Amino acid sequence: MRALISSFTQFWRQISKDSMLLVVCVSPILAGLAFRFGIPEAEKLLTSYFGKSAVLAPYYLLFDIFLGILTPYMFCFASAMVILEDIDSSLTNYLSVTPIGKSGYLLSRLVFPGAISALLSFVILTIFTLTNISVLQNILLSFFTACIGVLISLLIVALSGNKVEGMAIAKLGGLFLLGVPIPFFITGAERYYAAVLPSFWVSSFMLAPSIWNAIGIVVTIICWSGILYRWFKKKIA
Amino acid sequence: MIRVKDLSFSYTGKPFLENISFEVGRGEIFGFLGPSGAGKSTLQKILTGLLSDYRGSAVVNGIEVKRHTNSFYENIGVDFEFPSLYEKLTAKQNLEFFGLLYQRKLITIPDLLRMVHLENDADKKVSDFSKGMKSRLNFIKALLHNPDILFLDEPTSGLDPSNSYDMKKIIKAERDRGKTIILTTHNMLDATELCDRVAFIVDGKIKALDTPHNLIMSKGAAKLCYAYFEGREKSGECLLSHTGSDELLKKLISDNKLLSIHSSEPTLNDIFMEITGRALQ
Ligand SMILES: Nc1ncnc2c1ncn2[C@@H]1O[C@H](COP(=O)(O)OP(=O)(O)OP(=O)(O)O)[C@@H](O)[C@H]1O
Ligand SMILES: [Mg+2]
Repeated sequence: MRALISSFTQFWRQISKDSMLLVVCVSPILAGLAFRFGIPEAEKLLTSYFGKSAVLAPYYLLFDIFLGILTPYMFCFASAMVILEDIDSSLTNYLSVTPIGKSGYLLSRLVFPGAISALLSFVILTIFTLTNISVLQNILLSFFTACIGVLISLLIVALSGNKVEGMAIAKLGGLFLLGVPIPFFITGAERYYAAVLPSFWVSSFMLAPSIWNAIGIVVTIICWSGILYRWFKKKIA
Repeated sequence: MIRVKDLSFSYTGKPFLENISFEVGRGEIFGFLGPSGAGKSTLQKILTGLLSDYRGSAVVNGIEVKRHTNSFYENIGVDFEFPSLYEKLTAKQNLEFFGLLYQRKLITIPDLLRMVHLENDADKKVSDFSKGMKSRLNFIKALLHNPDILFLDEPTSGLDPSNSYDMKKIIKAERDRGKTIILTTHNMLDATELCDRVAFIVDGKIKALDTPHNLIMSKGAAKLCYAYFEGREKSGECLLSHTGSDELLKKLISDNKLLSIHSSEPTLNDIFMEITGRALQ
């Protein structure tokens, strides 16, 4: 356990020495502030300008989901960058031959950041929510988005050879989040084109918490993690 | 301490390491020699548990490597071919971090740094280290938790003669304390000097395995080579054991006509060339 904690502490140390990653980790709070105070103001302007009773308000839940997914996305991007840095300097290999082992390394670089981002996402949503989502909804949303965050870490590391490529792939990882707005705007059967994306199901579930939408989330997350982990493992071998 | 039997391994499905068998006892330095790409580092990766889809058996410290748990590493020190250090941390911070991973009693950091003459660079960032300094830091990192088994992959490469000499002294001292050491090197003199036994690995197979002394003796006796002047510079040679019957040599000696004379013992390098059929890269 001590080994795990020191490996995780080392992870923080690497992030804190990298100003870009530090900004990445603070960005969800900035986004939260902007959403919480900017969007209702914008809504006031828009409603008076168009003379309607609501313009953005129907999509407040969409903003909440987006904020909920942003925290894990940013955190897991940072952890992917740290993993790539470790691969570059053969540290993943070296840590595999210490008592922390490969499994401990993965725990401290994927699972811990995922868990912390879930917690943070919960806190940020509690403070900055636009819709006053319930605690249960918030817990579920934070948990599922953290899983998606870990998938994105796996994707970035699996598909890139170094930090520069990692940043490019991270944008591709952004495609993973495209599923979020779809259930809000497309109600016909065409929306199921996005059914391969876990984010689509998370969004659907927040709109309509049915068992089918929950199954959709679990199945897509399991399938993606199966595929991505296989590629990822080759990278860190 | 280490028992390998009928070990085979492949990266791609095409056979690579084949039928490797050997044993290494406590307090022994065992060398892997062989041309670049022969599979020496691969074999070390198998023995340290990094590659686990091998066939046959590899038992290290009583544990079949592919079934190791993480506590297996409490007793194993590894110095990889390439330094694995946190560039943004200082030497001391690096050692402190790696030390936290072990439950065993550690060797103190100042003692370690002193061993390889880095005591004045403890607070310098590793990114500001030279290549040889990184190699030395990487080496003491393997000794940090005082393990019984050491895997050293080309530890002396990139070191100046004096640091290389000191590192060899440390390696021998560790052996004398009862450690089991697996060592890879391209330097045949180092191998002769350090290793109790060596295995020549060529194209994934062990081609010879014995003490450096026996291997050298198997190559045959030492020769004596000499040069003299007779219209132009000429040279002759005879076996060291037959100098008395070389009439020309005797005459050159009594006439003080020799230009040069030296004995030449076979070296591990000759054995290497003979076994691998190619020169060392
Ligand atoms: N991860 C890998 N995937 C596929 N092939 C690999 C991998 N690592 C090494 N190889 C191949 O295995 C062979 C042996 O490599 P290895 O590193 O064991 O050689 P070596 O004997 O240590 O050489 P050197 O003396 O240059 O260090 C090489 O042909 C190399 O290309
Ligand atoms: Mg090698």
